[in-house]
Amino acid sequence: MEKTKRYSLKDDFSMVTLLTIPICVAINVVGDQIVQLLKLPVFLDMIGTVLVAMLSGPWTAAVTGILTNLVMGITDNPTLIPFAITSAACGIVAGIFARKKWFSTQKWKLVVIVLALVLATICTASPISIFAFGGISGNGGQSVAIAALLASGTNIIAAVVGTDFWINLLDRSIAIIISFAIIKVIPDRTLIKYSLGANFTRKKAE
Amino acid sequence: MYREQLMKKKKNKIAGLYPMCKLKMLGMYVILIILANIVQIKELPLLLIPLSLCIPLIFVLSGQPKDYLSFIKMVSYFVCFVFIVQALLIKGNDPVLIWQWKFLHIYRGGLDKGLTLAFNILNFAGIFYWLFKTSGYQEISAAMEQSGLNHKAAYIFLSTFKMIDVMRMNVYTIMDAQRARGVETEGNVFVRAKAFIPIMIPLVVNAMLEVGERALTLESKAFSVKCEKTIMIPATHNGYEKIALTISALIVLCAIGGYVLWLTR
Repeated sequence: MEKTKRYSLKDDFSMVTLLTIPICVAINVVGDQIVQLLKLPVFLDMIGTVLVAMLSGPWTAAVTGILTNLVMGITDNPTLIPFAITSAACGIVAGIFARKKWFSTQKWKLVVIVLALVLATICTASPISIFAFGGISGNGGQSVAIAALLASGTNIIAAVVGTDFWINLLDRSIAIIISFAIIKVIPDRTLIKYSLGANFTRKKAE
Repeated sequence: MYREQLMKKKKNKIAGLYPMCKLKMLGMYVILIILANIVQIKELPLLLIPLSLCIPLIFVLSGQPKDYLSFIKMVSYFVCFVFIVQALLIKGNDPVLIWQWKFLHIYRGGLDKGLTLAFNILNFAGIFYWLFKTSGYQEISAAMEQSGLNHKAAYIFLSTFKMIDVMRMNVYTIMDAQRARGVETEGNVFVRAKAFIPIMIPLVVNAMLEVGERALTLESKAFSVKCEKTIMIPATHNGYEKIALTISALIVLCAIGGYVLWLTR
């Protein structure tokens, strides 16, 4: 009996999801802090958002993304607040792919998702960093690269989009790989409590 | 303990204002910032500089000058970087040389862009930081709930901040545990990157497994029952809201008046 599943906001924002959103925001913030602690040249503030998107769809992921940047803006660096739009966009894109069940072990689907996420990031983050911050973003390594490119006479749009593309390609791939690794470890009885969790259980419902 | 902290904050008349009132004041400050951006002195938005000095003043009046220092520590590196890059690299359409030292040139276009960006960041970020530093998260979420927001949304907001503290403590525990097992957290980039996964996965999976229990706890306290909710420590008005709003509205009106005078000079 194959039925097309209809998605409702009420299902997406279930009790368990409500409790998961804070955890995933915390994952994003803590991920960012671990990156700073280990001094890696990426952001990794997207893992929780992708995780929520995979478990319960686009809207919860958008909420997670917005909250993440708000919280990091308050506690860490106020200049991150405008990039909430980027996080929300990435969450929505990842959530839509999750509903289409594209998060599977087929590698080309994952590549498409990464590219879509990078595209969403560039469409939203690059205009913000160009108009609000003159091309300089929070990431130290990228800012230096952009400054060097600007000094050598590159167009500002080319410099920002170019560096954004490479850094985000790396960043989003890592985020998706880690989210997958996390979902593989979570037991089935926890997974089925989420609206999309049944896509990732080891035993399929018949 | 939270009650004691709140009492300490409530002693100060500005810091003790109702959070929504502070939000309105923030809106008025944004109007001031926009006006300062439009007014140009010598073709430069110089008014932004004295305006950004208002933020330490507001912090001192709220009785929390230390928070301003931590704010400056957070953003100064970034703001300086933005300013230097813009000022040194951008020439503008008709380059007017303002300052020169060996190979470093500052043109008017670059100075304009740099000043605008750097001081706008200082102003906007500063006033937001003030809002969240003078009122506690619990107070803000209580005020959100009192003004009609869904209690679930208010709970998400509050529990996010609690969760971050919990997870941050867990990170150090897990990091020590993994180090004891022999996972290397120091070395070159690849060694450090490899350490990320053994820290992240136990952290997340632990937190996800606790969700079920926390859901039970909340349900047992009638979280999803549809009825009127009582707030344990409600956000209170301290009686100075009207005065504060009037004063800030007056300042904004004066600024708009000044702007009109500047337009018709």
